[in-house]
Amino acid sequence: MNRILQIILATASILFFMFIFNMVRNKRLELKYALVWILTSFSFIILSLFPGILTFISYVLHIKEPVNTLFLSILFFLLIIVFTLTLSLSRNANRVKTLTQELGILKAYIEELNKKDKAK
Amino acid sequence: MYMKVLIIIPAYNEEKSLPGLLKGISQNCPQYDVLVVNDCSSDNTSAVCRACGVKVVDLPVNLGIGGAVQAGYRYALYNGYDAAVQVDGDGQHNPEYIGELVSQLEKGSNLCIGSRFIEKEGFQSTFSRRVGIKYFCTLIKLITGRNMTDPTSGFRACDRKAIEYFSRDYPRDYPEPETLVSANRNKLIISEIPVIMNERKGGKSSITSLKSVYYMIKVSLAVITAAISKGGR
Repeated sequence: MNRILQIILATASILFFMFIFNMVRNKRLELKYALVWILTSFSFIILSLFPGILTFISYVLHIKEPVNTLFLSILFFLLIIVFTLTLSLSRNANRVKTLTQELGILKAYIEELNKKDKAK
Repeated sequence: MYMKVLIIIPAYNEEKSLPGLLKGISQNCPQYDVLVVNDCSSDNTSAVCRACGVKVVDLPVNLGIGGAVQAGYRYALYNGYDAAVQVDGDGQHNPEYIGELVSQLEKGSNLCIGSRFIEKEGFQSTFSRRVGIKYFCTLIKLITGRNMTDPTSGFRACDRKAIEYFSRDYPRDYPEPETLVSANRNKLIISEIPVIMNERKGGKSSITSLKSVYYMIKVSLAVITAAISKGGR
């Protein structure tokens, strides 16, 4: 890996790690959802500090340029993150649906009770 | 004989067609309770229904037809109804058949569909819609081995068993064909009776021409996944 690329990658991933860490500290990001990002930035810090890992993976996978392995690993992490987002999105959509239905039914109950109360 | 029957009407901006429909229902089956599920309409749907003296559930967030219908089934479940009849709010469904749908449940069906294509009378929908419906018939026949003449009909009656199932598991959008397959898979007994439908009196179909491609693909996938899913949503 190119020395300049290595420095940029290291700085960017360290800054990013600090950014995420700070978000969690300020309670703006749930640790549960930050975990995958922390893991990602941590892996890139490791990769930039020890570019030998990239060279080794490139050798095993028959990838000529180690930088392509870097792109591949970025894609890999992005796919995982997007997929977990879709997963939690559909779970939340179902929860919102159920809550909306129950809330609507409860409102109807309360209205009926109030009517009965007034009739007395 | 079913004593407690709830008529569920999902409605989204149907203030024009609902008064006529509610009147028709009170003339044909005054012994049944009526529940309008107002799916966060921006018009006066809720007020119009209240003025007619029927029960109204106002959903605070728009859920789409499936979510609204499921809210109705949940209401029926919590309030101990023996049966529920689903009627579209746009006036396409003729209330005089409600009694017949319910009597099919008394004969042992869990789910009874009002089909406009058995006797082929009344409003038969447009040509392109009929092609689409025919396609779903074939797909459902391939998957379940059963003839369903009108898989997109939302005019249907459910007994307690089907109410319990649909309260748990009901698709959110374009639910009709999918629920036939999943109900069949969950061993509900499905029957059909011939009905005559009207052209819609007001409002717009949820399926516009632009969305129809998406509709066909989504529903095809939904039907296939319903055939292999484990149930429980």
